Amino acid sequence: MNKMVLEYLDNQMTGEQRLIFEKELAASPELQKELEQAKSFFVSIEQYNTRPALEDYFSEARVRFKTSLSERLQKAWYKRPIPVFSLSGSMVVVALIGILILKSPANSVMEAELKEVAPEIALAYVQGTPVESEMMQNSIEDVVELNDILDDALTAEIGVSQENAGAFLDNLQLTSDELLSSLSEEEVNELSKKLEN
Amino acid sequence: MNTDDNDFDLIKRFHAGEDPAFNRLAAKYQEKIYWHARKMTGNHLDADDIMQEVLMVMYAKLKDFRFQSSLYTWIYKVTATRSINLLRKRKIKNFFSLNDDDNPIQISAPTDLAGDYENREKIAMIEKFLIKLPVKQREVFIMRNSEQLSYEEISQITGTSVGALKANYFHAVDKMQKLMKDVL
Repeated sequence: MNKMVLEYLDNQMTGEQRLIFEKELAASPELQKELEQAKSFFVSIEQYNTRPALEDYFSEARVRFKTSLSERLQKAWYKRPIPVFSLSGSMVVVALIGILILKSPANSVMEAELKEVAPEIALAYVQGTPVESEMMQNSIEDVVELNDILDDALTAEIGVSQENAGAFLDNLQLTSDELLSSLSEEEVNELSKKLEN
Repeated sequence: MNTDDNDFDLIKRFHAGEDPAFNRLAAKYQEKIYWHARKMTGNHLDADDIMQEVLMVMYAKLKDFRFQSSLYTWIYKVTATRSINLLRKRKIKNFFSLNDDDNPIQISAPTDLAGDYENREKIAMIEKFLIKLPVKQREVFIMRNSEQLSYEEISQITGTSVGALKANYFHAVDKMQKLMKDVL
């Protein structure tokens, strides 16, 4: 589309510019054709803009909104103190896990044990026999113990039911929708910009 | 205009705790919200979601509304942001192939509103072409054509300069005209 034609139809010309354009228009059949095509394009767009009367849909949408609003308000009323407790509970859990990891005897002797275990594994590989070292047993015990601690923390500190705590520990992987909805607007924008680049 | 429908009075009544005043505001603006979202996303389901979200934001934030801009501009800003955010999320999803749908942009629903109307095909065709425009061009095209907003108003809503908006609008019109050339 000719830029002048758009500016003319879009009322973006000054009086003087309009006069000059109209003179050009009168002298140019090509410009006249372009103007006609542009006008016909905007007529089609105008038809698209004619909104069908959807009173039923919009009144039904308002009813749905009211229902979901009252549900949210109800949830917010019940759950108001929970975020505070959840946050403090989570912080306690994280601190406990950190202390446990740092203070773990397995952690301090890990390097020494690794030196002991490596020849064992190499030998087992050559002999083709499975090996279960003391360190491996410790690791399994540590994981079981850690899961018990997390389980207790989820149920006792945050108030999650035993069943849900188990399910949470079994399935820590987020779905794509949960992952995207957990991103802030800034993070989404940042990611989107990186993708565009 | 009926004074009952005046935004200022309605918001004041809502501030005073009158929920029916909010219902009147919702009824007044929901159609504009829906159609902007519908044109931006190209489908009914997303537009419906966005409309519900925007109404929720209105309910939560209108209590703090201090008339520093017009209510219409504010609502439009919320709707435009929500629409663009949804499109960005969809783009990220598609990039990482997190979406099961092969072509999520063209989601059609059995409850598609356009389905019952004579101009269904034309609406579907223009929606299809609109979706092909880059988001910024699509946004200014919709605001300028459908909502008859001035460049200054659009600039206030989108935070883009008037010059950049005019350039985007020109490119949008040019592309749309080329896309629609064969079917006009």
